[in-house]
Amino acid sequence: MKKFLTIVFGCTTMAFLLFFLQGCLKDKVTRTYTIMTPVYESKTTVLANIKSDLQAEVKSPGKIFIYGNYIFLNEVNEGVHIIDNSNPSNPVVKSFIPIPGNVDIAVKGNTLYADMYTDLLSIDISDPLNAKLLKTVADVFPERAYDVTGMYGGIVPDKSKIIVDWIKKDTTVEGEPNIYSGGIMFDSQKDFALASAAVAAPGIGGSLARFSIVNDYLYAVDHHTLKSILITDPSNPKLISNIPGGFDIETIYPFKDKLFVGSMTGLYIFDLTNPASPAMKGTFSHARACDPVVADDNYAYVTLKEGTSCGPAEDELLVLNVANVSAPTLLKKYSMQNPSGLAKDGSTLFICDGTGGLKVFDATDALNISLKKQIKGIEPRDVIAWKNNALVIAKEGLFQFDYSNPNNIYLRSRITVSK
Amino acid sequence: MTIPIQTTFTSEAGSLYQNRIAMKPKIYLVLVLILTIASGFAQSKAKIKFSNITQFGTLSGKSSTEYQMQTVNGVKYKTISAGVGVGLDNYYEQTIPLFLDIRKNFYGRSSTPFVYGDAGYSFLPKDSKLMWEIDHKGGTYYAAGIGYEFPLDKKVKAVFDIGYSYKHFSRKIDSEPWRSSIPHNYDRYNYSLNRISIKAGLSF
Repeated sequence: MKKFLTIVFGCTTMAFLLFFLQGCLKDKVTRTYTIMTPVYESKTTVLANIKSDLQAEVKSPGKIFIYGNYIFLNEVNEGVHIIDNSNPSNPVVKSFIPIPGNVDIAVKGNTLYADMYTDLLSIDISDPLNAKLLKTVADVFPERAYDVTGMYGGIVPDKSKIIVDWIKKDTTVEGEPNIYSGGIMFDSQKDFALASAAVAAPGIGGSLARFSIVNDYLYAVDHHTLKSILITDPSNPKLISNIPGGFDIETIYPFKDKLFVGSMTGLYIFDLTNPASPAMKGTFSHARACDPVVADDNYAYVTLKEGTSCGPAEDELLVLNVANVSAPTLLKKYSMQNPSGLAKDGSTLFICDGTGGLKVFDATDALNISLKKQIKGIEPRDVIAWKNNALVIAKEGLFQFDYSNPNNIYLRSRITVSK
Repeated sequence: MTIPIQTTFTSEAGSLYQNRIAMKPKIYLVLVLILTIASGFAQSKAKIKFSNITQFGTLSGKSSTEYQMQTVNGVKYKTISAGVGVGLDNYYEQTIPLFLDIRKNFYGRSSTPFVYGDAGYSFLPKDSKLMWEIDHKGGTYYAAGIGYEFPLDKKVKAVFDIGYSYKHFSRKIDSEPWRSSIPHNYDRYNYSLNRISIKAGLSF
């Protein structure tokens, strides 16, 4: 009886305490963000300054492109570094072409093609250290305009001005996460920005490219279309066609007479028999994820990255049979940590696996690839493998590895990101 | 004219990898503390008992009332006991607290009031990511309160307690995943949650 009374007394006391004390407690949720105010420059002035007589630190490396002895390295939203890579063990940052809003690059011959927000620029780099603007083609990439809907922050595109910088002011407020309404509403406008451009003959880019040159055409993708741009006259690129290319397109990778287009929901294969108007030949759907792709004659290698804006898919590598491009089929899945860019040279497959580092696989048998080397300590995003030299763009900077002996891959050089 | 928009936070703030590294010293610290205390008990001549306390209960705060469960394993010496606890905390977001638990009985008899204090780290499960989230990490966990225990038989005791409980965690979220034209935008949310904890269970 005494125990029973004790329990009753205890429970009653607790109930009263709970009732009275609960109202005294508060949960605190703070949101820290930065208010950013754009700094404008007249478009005339910006275009006049597009020349390679500057030097700038590598702060936010984006896409990479190799051509001849040079590496072209995109500084996200700011321009292109030109790096003399005559000696991969000692690359030298030579100059910088300031291009506000630049995220994609590709090179053919002596011409660099780069985006500047909505515009496409062609730049003469016959002397890479004395680049000259050839042509500006306006409104090729309308999705890159600021606040097309006018719903976010009220910034309305003014075609006579270019945003060249931002004034940042950090602030913290109390508040709850508000991430869903905007995210879903604007999902179709998502513009993915990390990585590099790809080319067939004249240069080589990475797997995260949104620009690619095949023969006389520059192909570029936005969220829903594949654009073919005739570049026989570099001083006068012409947008020829906008071809519906699926949804949430992210990357484009050329192989022989095919374009492999990676989207967040699948892989699209285009045939280039008519290069002015590529025809979609086959598709392969997968769970929503970030999805770069590389391919060879028989196989396509697709990495699916979960998280952030990518989607809920598993982190994995898919190997597809693309011998029949009309009907790509899944052959095998390999579990990964958080993969993004990838490259294949012969039987060696490189995968940038997020915090898992750079992974090097023996892909002699696509159905049984085996890990040969894992390079930790960097967070790689994309890789170009060319002539036993792997260029890796990572959060920490640009790295070059010698893989002439797959059993003894070693770091040749690095250009570290400035803090 | 310049029109401010709400956007970016931090450029390359901590990754999950870094968070895991940051958590490890805290776990080691808790283990070292409990081993130190256990070692101190072991050196004494008094009788040391191993103990287990398993409890279920509620966490009530401004946001809601949710369930919790905990189990503490440790040692007991006279009226003092210490152990390492792990649990499930479902308040606001489900977290897993790992903590050092120390409690002191008021009396040496079998039925006695007691006070307790917990301190440790609250882990946020990896699969609790929100849409557009870059990463998340757990944070400080602590609790303190009073309780009462009484025997049900020779080995088993019933334990009730009430107290204050705090946990913290944070999330880094891509606030504009559809944009690349401006430097990428992140919001950092910090959650500091204060609750009343009520638990009941058994002690062996």
